[in-house]
Amino acid sequence: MLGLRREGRPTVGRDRIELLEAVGIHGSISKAAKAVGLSYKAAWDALNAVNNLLPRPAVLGQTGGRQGGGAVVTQDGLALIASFRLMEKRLEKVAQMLAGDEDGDSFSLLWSLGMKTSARNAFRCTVTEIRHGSVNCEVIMRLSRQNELTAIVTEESVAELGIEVGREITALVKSSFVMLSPGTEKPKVSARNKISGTISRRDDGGVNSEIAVDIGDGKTIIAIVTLESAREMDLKIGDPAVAFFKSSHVILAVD
Amino acid sequence: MKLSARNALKGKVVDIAKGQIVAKVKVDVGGQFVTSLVSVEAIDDLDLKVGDSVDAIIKSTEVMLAK
Repeated sequence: MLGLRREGRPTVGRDRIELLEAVGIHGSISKAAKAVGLSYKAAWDALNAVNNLLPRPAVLGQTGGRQGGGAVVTQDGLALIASFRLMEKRLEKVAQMLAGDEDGDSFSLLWSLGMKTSARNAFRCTVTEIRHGSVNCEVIMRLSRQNELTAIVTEESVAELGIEVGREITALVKSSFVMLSPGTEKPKVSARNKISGTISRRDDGGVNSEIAVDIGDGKTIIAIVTLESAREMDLKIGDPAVAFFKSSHVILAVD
Repeated sequence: MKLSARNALKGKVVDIAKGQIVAKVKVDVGGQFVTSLVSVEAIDDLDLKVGDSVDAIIKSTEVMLAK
């Protein structure tokens, strides 16, 4: 899988680049989704994932609307597409050069480095502070202009991954770890991560409800709560909500 | 305080053991004990002390069952 890595940023795969290009051509997420053969939701999720991983969003628009509304690819998004296509061309040349190489295994291993994970929330962050303990370590990161994230990981992980202040890392949070509280007031709970936002999407299943919270700066958090909870709290698109999760539920990844 | 978490067990803090980063809080919930690991920072933020009434909040996805 060919992916783009620039200045240590994580991979954006070709499928997502094609989707971005389609948004640029069609000016809408629903039309772009149709053009690349994705469902509207899958396209919406993919674009959110891209926005969460970039310092500034690649796509702007009414991502919360049922039918998608208009969407535009930003300058950052256009730069991403251009870099990807340029790198793709150059890598093709490298691939041709290596085609005759007998050590093909190491070549395919290279592609697998652009790992994808099942965690629905992956945020590009900059480490701002590290508090050391004897076993555990608290890592504070800047997620966006408005928000910070806190992770508690082991001292060993911090040493092994070379996590230090100023380093760019990816924070992963499984959506089932994320809880919600309606309104703007942050709940008085011990969870370190309490992020205010606006509900931008709700998809109900038989038992669970998948809720997206727009937390500003083009970033979105996905929470899975029971349908029962979503109904009791009467969570609707456009309503304010606080997404919260324990710092021990944050996984850190480095490139 | 409305939360999406399905389980909130009312109890009293009976013990707090602070480490450097993480603290272990023991909560008496009607004669049974629930142990919680939270950050020391959270203990300070909530001004949590032995004897305080608290809710032990557990997301339903976190509850294991044994038979």
